[in-house]
Amino acid sequence: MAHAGTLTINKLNKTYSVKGQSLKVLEDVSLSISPGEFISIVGTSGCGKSTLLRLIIGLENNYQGDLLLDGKPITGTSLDRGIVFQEHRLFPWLTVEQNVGLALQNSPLSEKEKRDSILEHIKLVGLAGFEKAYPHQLSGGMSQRVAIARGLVNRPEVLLLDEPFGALDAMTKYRLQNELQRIWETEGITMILVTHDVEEAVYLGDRVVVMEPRPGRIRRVVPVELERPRNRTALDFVRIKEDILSEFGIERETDTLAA
Amino acid sequence: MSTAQSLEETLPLDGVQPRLPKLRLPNIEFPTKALYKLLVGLVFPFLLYLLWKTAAEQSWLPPQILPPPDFVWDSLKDLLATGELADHTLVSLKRVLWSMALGGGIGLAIGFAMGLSPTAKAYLYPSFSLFSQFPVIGWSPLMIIFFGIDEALKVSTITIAVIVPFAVATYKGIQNVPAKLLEVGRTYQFSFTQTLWHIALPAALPAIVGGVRQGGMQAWLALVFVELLASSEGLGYLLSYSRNLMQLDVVVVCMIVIGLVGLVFDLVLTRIEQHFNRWAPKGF
Amino acid sequence: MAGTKKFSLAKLDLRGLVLPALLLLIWQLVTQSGSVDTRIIVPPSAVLESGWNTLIGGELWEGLKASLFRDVSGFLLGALAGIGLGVLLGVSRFANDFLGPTFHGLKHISLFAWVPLLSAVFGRDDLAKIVFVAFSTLFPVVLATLEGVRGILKSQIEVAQVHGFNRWQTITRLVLPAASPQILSGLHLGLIYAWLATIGGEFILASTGEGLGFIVIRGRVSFHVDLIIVGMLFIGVTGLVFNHIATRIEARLLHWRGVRH
Repeated sequence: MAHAGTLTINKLNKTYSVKGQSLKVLEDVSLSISPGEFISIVGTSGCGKSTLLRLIIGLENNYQGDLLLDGKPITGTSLDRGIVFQEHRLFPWLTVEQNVGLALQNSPLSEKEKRDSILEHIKLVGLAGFEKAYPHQLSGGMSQRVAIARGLVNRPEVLLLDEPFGALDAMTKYRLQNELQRIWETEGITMILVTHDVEEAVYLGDRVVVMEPRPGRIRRVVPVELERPRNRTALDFVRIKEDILSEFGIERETDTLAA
Repeated sequence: MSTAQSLEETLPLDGVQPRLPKLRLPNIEFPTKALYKLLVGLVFPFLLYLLWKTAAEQSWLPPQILPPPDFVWDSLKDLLATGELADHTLVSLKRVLWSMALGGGIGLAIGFAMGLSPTAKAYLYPSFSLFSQFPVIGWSPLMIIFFGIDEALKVSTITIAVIVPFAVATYKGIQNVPAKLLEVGRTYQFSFTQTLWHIALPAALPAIVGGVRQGGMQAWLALVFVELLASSEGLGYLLSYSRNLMQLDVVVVCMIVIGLVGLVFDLVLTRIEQHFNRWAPKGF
Repeated sequence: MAGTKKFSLAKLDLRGLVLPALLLLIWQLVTQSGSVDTRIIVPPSAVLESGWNTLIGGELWEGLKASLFRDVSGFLLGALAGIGLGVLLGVSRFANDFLGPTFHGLKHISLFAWVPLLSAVFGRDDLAKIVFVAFSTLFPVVLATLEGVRGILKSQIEVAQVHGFNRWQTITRLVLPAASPQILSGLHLGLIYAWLATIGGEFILASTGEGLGFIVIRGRVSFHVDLIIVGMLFIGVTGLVFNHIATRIEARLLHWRGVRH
């Protein structure tokens, strides 16, 4: 089991400069994430959710405010923080196990430990037996699972997922959401998922962070205190989902009076 | 291009016994179609050959200009027997291969420099762009003044012809390395060397191999030219020499050999290019 | 992007001029150092002088005109034949089976290997050179046209069929416009090869008369390196101009493709 990290975001601000004009992408974002928590972030395009993720992973820097992992400020990338992108971004010329092994390039582990970790994580995402396959032989869902294995193989303290299931069909998406939940429960690390799919956010998250655009900021944080695995059709699930959807101007359909 | 076969789809379902494959009749359509294409393709050359033979027999053109096909065939056999053809071909091939190695190295270096370092690109690109637009053969008179007409001339001219396609292909290949893959490297703390070796090079390899193919073509072009212009050995020399003696049968033999070598070059390099293109980053 | 960009001197990247300036400087210094034979390594000043003289004397212009004449006539000949042949091979399955293999076999014969044969049949004068230039244009144009025609989507052909286009209309209203990006690209390449063949032809089939290539050859024969360099400069500039014009025409005619290309 990996050690789960505490993420502290305090009054985070980020501004881009486009053609001489400054564009404020994030404004006063503050959030405290406990170790082992699953946080879902929802919002429409332009609300800065992807930027937030890129700041946490360290692909973007230059921010104002505090961004801390276990009390230490985040500057640049690190093996403590892993990410799964929307496109699987596997290297087409490497096999599944070589792709996962890529993440261990700069890891201090011994060769044997690396091999064990790779095989363990391929098994974790349910792809045992496909170690020698190439990405072009895999379906979209399988490729994304490899990406998840690659993101976890370093046992990071926090795993970020940037709309990881956005490019997949509905059935594969449901399957992978369940997979992700299982993996999260097994590994116990902190996970932050960015999505525009509200149902996915409610299904997976301990809390749902609702963001709004121009400039990007947190509108509300909705706790989801339901037992797992959650029932998508249960009334209290749907209520929470509609509650969040109403933030985006979508009408409620359930009866708000107690059943 | 093969369609991606999802392994998920080929996994057997639980509880279903795999069936024995049905006996299939051999596909008779394929050989007949290929045969047909081959025959039709040969008709036109055959007609030309008949025309050629008749024209030579009827002396429509003087035999100096139009040697009969049999002459060409005999010349070919002679040249092969004396080993003359093989010798000249070998000389030409050696020149090309040396030049490709030299020009390839220089071209790769320039391409890498421009592709990897924006500073290098700022200094080199304008001059390189100008250089690449000047016809390679235009350098030869100057080269003759400096190097005379021996081996250095040939190799330097062909090398110049090779540098441009190599450099351009390498440069484009490096430039087109998907930024998304580079980001993956960054999240895993890849150093510059690691990024180059594990990401940039494999991703740029298909383009670089394409450049080798282009370079090969340009090299062969420059070789024939420079051997025609000023040489005492090689296929181009043989071509020129026999033309001056009005031995057009030998001229035709040389043209055929030049064409064949070009064809083989192209086939081999295309095959290699296809091999590397299996990894072409698509849909990552 | 439409509209004119403000030309700002500050934005002009002058670093690109460093290398050529450096080379020019080294060249000048080397000739002045006295350690080389200045007949071979001619100082830039001599080149300028020589260039000016030939310019005034009219030799350069006459040469340019003559070379351009051969180039353009050969190019037009080869381009028309090339587009015609390319369309034929692309549209007619039979023509492709019948003529295709021969063409694809011949295209592997390196360009300059044709010169001796052509000179034997057509002599050493303008005719042979023009035919050679036509040849050099033919191959790239045919290949590009073929690719363009083959790439026409079946769905577009069906639209033409549904509207009752006859053969000629299909070719002029659908095939040619749809294949125009590739055709123009092929013509651009053909233009480059044509200039290459013009100069190369003049080098190999050196004869009396006018031509930029001849100026260079005469310079070489009489050991006037300055003449060689002047000739090379003019050859290079002409090639650049061709390239530039071709790119502009291509962009203008293909504006309907959108900015992405």
